[in-house]
Amino acid sequence: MSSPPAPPSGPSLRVVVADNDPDALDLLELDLALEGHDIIGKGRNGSEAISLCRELNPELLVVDLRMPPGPNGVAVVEELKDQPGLAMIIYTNYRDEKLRARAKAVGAAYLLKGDLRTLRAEIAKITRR
Amino acid sequence: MTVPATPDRHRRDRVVLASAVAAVMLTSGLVVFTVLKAERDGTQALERLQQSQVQQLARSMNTRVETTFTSAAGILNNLKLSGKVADPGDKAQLDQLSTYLAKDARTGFYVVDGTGRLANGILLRSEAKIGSQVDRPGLADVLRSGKPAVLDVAAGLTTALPTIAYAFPITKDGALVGGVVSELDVSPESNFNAEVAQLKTGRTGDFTFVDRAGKVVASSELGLLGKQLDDPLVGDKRGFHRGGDRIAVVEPVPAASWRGVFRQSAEEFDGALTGPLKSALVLIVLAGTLAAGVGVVFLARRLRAAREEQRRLQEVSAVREEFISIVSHELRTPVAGLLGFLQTTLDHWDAMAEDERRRAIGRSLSSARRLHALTRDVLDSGSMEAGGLSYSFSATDLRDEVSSAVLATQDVLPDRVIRLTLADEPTWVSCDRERITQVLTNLLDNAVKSAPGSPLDVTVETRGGVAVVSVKDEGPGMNESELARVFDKFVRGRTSTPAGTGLGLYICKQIVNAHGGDIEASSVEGRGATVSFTLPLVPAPVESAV
Repeated sequence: MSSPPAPPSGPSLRVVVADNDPDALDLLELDLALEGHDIIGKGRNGSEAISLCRELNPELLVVDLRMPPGPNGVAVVEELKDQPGLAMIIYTNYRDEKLRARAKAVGAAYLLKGDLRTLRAEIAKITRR
Repeated sequence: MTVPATPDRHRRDRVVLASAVAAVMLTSGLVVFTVLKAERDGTQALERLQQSQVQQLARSMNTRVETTFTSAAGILNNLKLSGKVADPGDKAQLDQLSTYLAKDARTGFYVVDGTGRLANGILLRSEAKIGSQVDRPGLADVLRSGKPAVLDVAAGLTTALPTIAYAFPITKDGALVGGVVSELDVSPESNFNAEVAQLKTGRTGDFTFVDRAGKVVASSELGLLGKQLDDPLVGDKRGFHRGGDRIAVVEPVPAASWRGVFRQSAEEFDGALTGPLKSALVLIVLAGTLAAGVGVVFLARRLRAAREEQRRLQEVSAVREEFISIVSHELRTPVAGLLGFLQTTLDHWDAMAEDERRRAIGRSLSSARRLHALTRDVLDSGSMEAGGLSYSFSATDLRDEVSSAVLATQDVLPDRVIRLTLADEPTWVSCDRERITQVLTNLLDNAVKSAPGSPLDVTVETRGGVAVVSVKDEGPGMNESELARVFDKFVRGRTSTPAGTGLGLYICKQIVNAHGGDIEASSVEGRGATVSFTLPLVPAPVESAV
């Protein structure tokens, strides 16, 4: 079996990930680590995501949308919008244009789960900034 | 599913209700109009009837007076009265005439001369007055005109009672020489009044005859006799009159210059006709109101029921839409996991260690299983709605199925503590193995999801003819309202990692019930939950029993 070449990875980012689904969290951790990033924090809900970002000062937050109870992904990025040096991506199964617009308004990307390459490409854009 | 927009429905409901009310009001209006018209027509007919009755009476009185005039003229023509004061010849003739008077006659008659002096008399109260002037209104006119007349009520000479009087002229050789006055008392006992006295009508109706001056000469209301009738309704004008709360009918008696009068309270007069009509009207209005009320209530109920149905449909529609949204999300979650782990493994194959690859593929498999379970739940619930699942029953040792299900869960979650306690003896039940495995998998998945990190206790025991399988966790548990709805369709647990479709326990209940068993949940909030189900025990199959 021949494996496809790994996509070129940019500079390493310090990343916090948050998702209430343990499988999704593990997948993010695995893939982003393999992409060369440094996973410095893992949260299971919105409140944890906020406190991890405040505490660890990461360069990137990848956060799920729906994580009851507590704030959802959009509320999290709105809360953290003024944190310096923090890029934010909402990574979700929900397609919702209003939420996407709210995320965009605070400079966060809104991506649908399913294709990791879309996520990697978005992260690559961030690293090029 | 499309449901008509609520504002349109409400507007239509209001139009229907308003039309019904308008129709009822229109009908009521027509009924009331018809009844009122009937009442007016009836009243007019009643007035005409009353008028003709009074006319009849007046005419009859008139005829009586005229007859009296005629017969008196005949008698007087046979007499040879001189009209002179105290004339013995005249006196003899009057005595002769008095034999025609009844024995108990209460009034008599007298002769006056041409100048109105009392000349002679029968039953005079005072003979001493003979020769003196008779002061009786109307008498002078008779002596002047030579025409007989009925004189108005006045004091008489032959009785102490008030009297009326017939006055006839006496002529001798064509010349007017005096007159004869025949008095009749105006009193309840008089023969003249006897007929009129019987005519009293109802409570308030009276028939009365008044003279020119308005004095009562005869009446069914005995108290009025001889008195002035002061009644604004009774004028000179003939016909039917209405005034205030009374009615009066006035008809002339020309021969006597009297007026015949009928008077009654309007209420009693109209009541004869309008009483029944009013009762009918009240009944119609009551019946109409009742019918309209019942109709409106019925209609309003129908409308409310329709609205309720519409609201229910909207609820069902909303629940379905939410379900579709949930299911699509729930399906995307394992799909994302499945795709993601495979993709990352393929993309980083060389960078990953052997055990990393194995773990990632294992996660893909677990996501695929979740996807499989979800699609099965959705399809099963569809089948259940469409008329039930099909089952293939066979004798099974329930311990085997439970052990397998626990093992499968432990495979995916090697770190989770799952304690399994099995009955010592084989636990034979008749079941569809796949379906019972589905129930067990659902219960284990639920326990895993709703009690993160908690150890699980799974037991199989027998109790009074049934096998009991319990899955117990030490998670947050459920409160009473959650417990009450836990087996309802689309009800999802509050701990949501991820949330689930809300179909799992619903399907479990359907499957267990189809096996003749029961399923129940119990919980102490904050101290975990237990879901257990029963299946009826069956005898061991022959080959195993041997």
